[in-house]
Amino acid sequence: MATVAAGPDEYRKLDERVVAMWTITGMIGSGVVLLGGLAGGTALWLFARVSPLIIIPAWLILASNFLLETRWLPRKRYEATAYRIGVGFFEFRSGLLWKTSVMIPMSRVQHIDLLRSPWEQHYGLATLDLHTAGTTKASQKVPGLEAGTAVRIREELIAAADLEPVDSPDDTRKE
Amino acid sequence: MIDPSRTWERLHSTTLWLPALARLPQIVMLAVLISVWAGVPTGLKIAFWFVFLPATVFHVLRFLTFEFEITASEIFIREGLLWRQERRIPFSRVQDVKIQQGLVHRMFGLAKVELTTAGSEKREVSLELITRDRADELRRAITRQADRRVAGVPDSVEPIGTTLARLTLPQLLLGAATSRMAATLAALIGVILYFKTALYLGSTFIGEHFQDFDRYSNWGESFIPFRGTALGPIIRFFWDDTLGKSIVLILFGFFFSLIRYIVRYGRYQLTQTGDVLTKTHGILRLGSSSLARRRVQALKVEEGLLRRWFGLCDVWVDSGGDRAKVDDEKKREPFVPVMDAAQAYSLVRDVLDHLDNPQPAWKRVSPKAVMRGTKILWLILVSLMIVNAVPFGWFTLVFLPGFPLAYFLNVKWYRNRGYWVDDHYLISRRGWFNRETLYLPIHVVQNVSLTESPFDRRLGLATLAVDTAGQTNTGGGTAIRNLPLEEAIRLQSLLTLGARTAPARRKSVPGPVIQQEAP
Repeated sequence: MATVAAGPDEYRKLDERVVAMWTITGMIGSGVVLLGGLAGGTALWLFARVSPLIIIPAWLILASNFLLETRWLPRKRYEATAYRIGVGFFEFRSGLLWKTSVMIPMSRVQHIDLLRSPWEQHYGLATLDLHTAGTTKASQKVPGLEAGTAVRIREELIAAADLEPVDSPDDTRKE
Repeated sequence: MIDPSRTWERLHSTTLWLPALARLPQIVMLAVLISVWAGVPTGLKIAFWFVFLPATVFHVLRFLTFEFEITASEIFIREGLLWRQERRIPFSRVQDVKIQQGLVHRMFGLAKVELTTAGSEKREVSLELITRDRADELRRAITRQADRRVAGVPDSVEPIGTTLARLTLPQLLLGAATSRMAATLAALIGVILYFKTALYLGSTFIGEHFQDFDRYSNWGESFIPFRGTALGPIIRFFWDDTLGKSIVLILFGFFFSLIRYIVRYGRYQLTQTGDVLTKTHGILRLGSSSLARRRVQALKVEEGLLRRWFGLCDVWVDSGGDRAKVDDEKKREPFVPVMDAAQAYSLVRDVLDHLDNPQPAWKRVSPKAVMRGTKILWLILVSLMIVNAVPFGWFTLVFLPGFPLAYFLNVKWYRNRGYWVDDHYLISRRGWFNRETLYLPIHVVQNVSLTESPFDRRLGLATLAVDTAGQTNTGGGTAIRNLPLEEAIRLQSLLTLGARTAPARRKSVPGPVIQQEAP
């Protein structure tokens, strides 16, 4: 079975191209909001006589959001995100302010989806979606993986999940 | 393909008319409603043509198209009029078995059976109706399957059941009086009394227009018997006064909730047969539900404020089949509706394997939790004081006692918050007024997440959240806040690796096998 380059139990980073992709998607997302805010603010100013003292700070907030989303956040997010394939478990950590780390026992992985949005296809990336039988957090997405790596990780996880000790009486019957 | 060699069995012939008959009250209601503004003949016609007839036809068709076969290890179902569907449900997939018997069903010795599997959201199979004997046979077959897989019990041996819990009449009455419904109604009386007093006091200050607020109406006075006697004012109070009327209504509600509780949970009995737990309850409608012990996904002991006073509690259990979210209070079904707390904790030990101590030496979260919680409440109090200072001035000082109270509450909450992790279980306890203790077998853990908020990081704390599959009755996995970071990391890997090595119950293998065939 093909293994991914780094050794077990080491944190691995996402593909660096994800920074460029997040910059583009952030630019589109926050750009639409910024343009909408500019148009809406102008309309409020001209037709509803809302004071510019309210509108201009709002514009500034939207503009700084645009700057953050395009200049700073993609890189920071990339640096904060890592995953790890340990012995018997998978870990994914992310988040800038609210840092989270999710650990999924391999034997609990129900199925794995591989998703590729148009932008991801353009950058040669893919997202893995790990499903468990949990309720509040039934699936965990791992974005920004190089497409080939994503496939290899999926194979690796599925193989590992199959090797896991599952000595439940339920599963003695294979269907 | 549909196997022609099976010996198919139909539902009991009463299915032709009994379920439709059970809907008769609703049909009559509808007929009456329509009759009110369309006349009696039209009402009857509409009810007959649009409700009664379709319902009857539906049940006749269902009877004619529904067939099943029970073998030693699985049940086959064939149904559908145009799209024939054949399903096969191995008993090993069945999470729990429910047998229900209404009053009429009991007269005919019939029962309705529902089977739940892990794979689906809804009831997998509903057999309405079969004979009670057949239902018991089915349950025994499923139970035996569960047992054989655990202990190697041969088919021929009929396991003997032991009674784990039973409700005595005083317990039942006390349980009814301390149930959530009763508590809500009692609280409502309190609120009404309180506001009433406040209104009366307020009206003397605010002005004349409140004076007429609760004047007894002249209309009612002429009807009152005992007028002029000593009883007069009392009767007038309950008959005419808004407050009196509300109290009477709520007392009625209270009374009916008592009756409802007793009818529902009377004759409660929990038995263990081999590895299978069966609870039976109901005075009119007898319901019984079976669950294999190893299917238990989570167990929770809830001690509400009222019940704690009386040393009582209630017990809740989830199996893998209970996947629905906890938004619908009605769907929650207690495992034991009411029980002595001490008895409950010994029951917990009976139900859960490898559990050494149901109330272990609790580990506490970080003591920083106290000041943290207090500060949040103080912040709320300060903003309340500022908001109230503007219109009311010095009145805002009434919030001052809130500050020590907030601290006191947080100390209590901190002292009552506890967790415990051993090789097999994660146990977590919380609450001072209402205490709940959750037992989570580590092998049911689906994933464990650890979150550090910006505030957490400043204090070196983290929140650990455990996710499980079943959560309808217990609320599922728990989240432990304010853990020291190293402890949280340690627990996270402990639980993840524990879940990995413990026997798993995977759902990737589909529960029922469905075959479909075009007409």
